[in-house]
Amino acid sequence: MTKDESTDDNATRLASVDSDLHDKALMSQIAKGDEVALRELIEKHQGAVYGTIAKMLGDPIEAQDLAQQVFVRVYRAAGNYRATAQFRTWMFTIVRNLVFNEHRRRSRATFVPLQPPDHESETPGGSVGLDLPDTVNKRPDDAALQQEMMSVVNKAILALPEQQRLAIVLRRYDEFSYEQIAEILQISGPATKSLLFRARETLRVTLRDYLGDERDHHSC
Amino acid sequence: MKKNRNSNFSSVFDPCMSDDTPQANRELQLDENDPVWQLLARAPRLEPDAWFTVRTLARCRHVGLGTDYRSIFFNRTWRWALGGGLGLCLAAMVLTNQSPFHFAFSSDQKNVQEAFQIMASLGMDSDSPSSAQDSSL
Repeated sequence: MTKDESTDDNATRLASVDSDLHDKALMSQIAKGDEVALRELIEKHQGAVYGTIAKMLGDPIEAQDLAQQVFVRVYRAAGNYRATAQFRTWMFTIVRNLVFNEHRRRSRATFVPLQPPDHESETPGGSVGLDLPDTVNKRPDDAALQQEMMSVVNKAILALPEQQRLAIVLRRYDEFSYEQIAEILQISGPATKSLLFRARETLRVTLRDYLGDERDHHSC
Repeated sequence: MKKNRNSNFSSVFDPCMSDDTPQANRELQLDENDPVWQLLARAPRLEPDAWFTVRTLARCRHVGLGTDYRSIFFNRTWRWALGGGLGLCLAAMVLTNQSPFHFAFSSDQKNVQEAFQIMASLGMDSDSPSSAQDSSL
């Protein structure tokens, strides 16, 4: 491990300790039937849970249902919850189980999507709802470009095998450490790194046409 | 096992490369410098709608925490109760079945003995000559 990576991991760990202790305190309050604590826990983690599931499934409606199921499971398990691992890691293990189960269920059944294809219902800002152009902050061509970019990136992520997809989403969007990802995916550390490496290489090939634009975008 | 796993954790990034190769060093810095990583940032994850918390709370309320406690209690208890009950039934069956067999056998034995005695007495009457008939003696 290089010094930079070690420092980065340690900083992340230290920053998450307080948050983790707070989560565990909330869980013990939830176990006693405290609904305010439950609300706080949901509000704190709903973005990460819902966002991860939506990235994994590519279906915002199904993601809502699955994210709710995650919190229901967390709520029901509050009485038996033992703070052996980090709360976030434990919660994302539930996310992983539900998402992989959903994948298995989908692979057995054939679905006719009710939504228009290519994520047409997603707004450039990322929220689900009315597809109104953001005329205040962006020019129409910028907004269209951003939307196209989002669509392409989301498609590329969805094309990855499910374990690679979850690993890359957890690392990129939820900023989990390699060890935490290994724990969530229940694989070894080297396997996690290998998984992320392969995912990144696949994305590099899939998105090669847009990588030039990205370099230009950052240099400007 | 876990300790070993974690001890190898830092040493491998690319499975084909060792840590000291330029390729591995490049991979270690990928997270922030990699254009792929930067491109992924341009497709931010979705946020749940404003009613998500309310709906989730309602669903949790519907499921209920107390029911779970009860179900866990019953899930654990009914297995023991069923197992214990079956064991008791088996023991009772063995005990109750042993004695009827025993009695049935002894009563059968009694009947057989009686039958033999009757047969023996009948046989003696028919086959062996009575002292009155045996005039030669």
